[in-house]
Amino acid sequence: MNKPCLLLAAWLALPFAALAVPAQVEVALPVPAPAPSTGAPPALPKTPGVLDPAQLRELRSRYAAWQALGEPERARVRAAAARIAALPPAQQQALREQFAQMDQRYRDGWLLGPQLGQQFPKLQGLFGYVPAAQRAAALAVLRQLGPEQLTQLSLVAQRTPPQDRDRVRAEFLAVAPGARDAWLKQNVGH
Amino acid sequence: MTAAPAPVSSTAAGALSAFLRGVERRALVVAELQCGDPAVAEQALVAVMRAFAGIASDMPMAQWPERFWSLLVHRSPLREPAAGGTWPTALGHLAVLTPAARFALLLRVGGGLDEAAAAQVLDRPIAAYQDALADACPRDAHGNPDAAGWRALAEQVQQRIRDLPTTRLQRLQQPVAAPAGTADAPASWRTPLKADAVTAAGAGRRRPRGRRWPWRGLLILLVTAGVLLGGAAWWKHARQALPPEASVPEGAVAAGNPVAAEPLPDDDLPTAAPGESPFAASDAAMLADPELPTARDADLYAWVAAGGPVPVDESQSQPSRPEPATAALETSAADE
Repeated sequence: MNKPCLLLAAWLALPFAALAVPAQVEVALPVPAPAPSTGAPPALPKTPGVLDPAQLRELRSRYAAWQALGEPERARVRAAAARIAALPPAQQQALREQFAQMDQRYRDGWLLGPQLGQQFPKLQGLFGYVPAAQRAAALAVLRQLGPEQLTQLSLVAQRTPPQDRDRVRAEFLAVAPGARDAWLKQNVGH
Repeated sequence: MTAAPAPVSSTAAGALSAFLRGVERRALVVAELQCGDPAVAEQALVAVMRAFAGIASDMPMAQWPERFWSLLVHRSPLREPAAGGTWPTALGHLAVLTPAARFALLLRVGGGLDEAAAAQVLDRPIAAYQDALADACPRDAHGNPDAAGWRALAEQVQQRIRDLPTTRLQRLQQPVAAPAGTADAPASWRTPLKADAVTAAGAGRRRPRGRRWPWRGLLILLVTAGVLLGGAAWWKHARQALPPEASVPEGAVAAGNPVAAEPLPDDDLPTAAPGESPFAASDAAMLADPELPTARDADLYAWVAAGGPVPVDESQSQPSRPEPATAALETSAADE
């Protein structure tokens, strides 16, 4: 019975919740509400006691996801944050609202950074639900891939029928880094 | 010839009976593993079923599962079990859990509720529910969550549900500890009054020994239908991990049954005591990190950094703009 396994996938490693979070969780994690007038997000407290447990847990999860990003990805995120901060408040607000209105699963993908976030909707078939035991390996491999490899992998993900996803994912994760291009080329062709 | 109201009433009774049949086995195991006392669990479940039968007709069937489990988790003997409960050796882990964590676990692995439904039943935010689940997870020697232990626990609970003796379920159908003067109370909380009234017309020609159970034939019919429907619903549930009652078509039941519902204590589940969080040190470090505001909204910023693409297959209520959201940023983004 793999139900418990999926369940574990949902919470054992929250930093990577986007890789495994069940669809029904969508309703539960509100994006921090933007402040109505300034366009800036609400200030963060300096002590944990001010936040309720749910907020604190959410914040921990986001912080861990941030820490898991590579430095180049973080630099891109910082630059974007600076650009947004320079916008007029109304425009900041509009951006936040537009983002907040998007599907939770789509938004979650962006916690993986700009590069993986962009590919994540297409990778969801293969990597939307990953068993807990595979998650760390899956993320590590995904972060090693270049843009071209990610594009090919997303094609594989889209062409893999649901019943083959577990097998194909496990197969790909087992491929040695040097053999990934060959594997991708072979599997995209199917 | 006027149409008899019997079909409506028996449909309602049949649906209720089927629902209870589908849920009682799981509910009994959840209740008894929650409090560690089969007798207390049976009493609690009978009370819940009675209360539920009294209110079921007033709500759409789609709301039945949530309401039923909600009644169950708010029973004081289950929410705050008395000391002295006992658990089978294989389920000894349950004994060391707090009642809140135990309920979180049992609703998931025994009740078969998904996280969102269980959180709603417990009236907690889903994150708090997940916290409770995390608290309930068995740990290995290093204190890490033990996935194998979790699976073993879940399988034990499922096994217990499958192996529950029918006699225990039959006991649930007996009015428990009924006071002496309840002759005018409904004879069974499983059968709404209307069904009783419908059959009363034909009661005169029944055999005398059937007088106490004038609707016995109907009840047998309903119970049989209930067993079949409940079995089918349970099978469906087991295969799809959905609450079996989700397949019941929506629609209110017409039987107006004035069975008095027991008032529930209105205080909420005890909020988890904050205590000394194992995350205290890391939380302090996190909150002191000047980059935390960036980290918190990193998904938004990553999206903007990637040019603010609009999801292709997004089914939004309002049409999304065709151009990327961050078109205004393109000039500054180009030099990155």
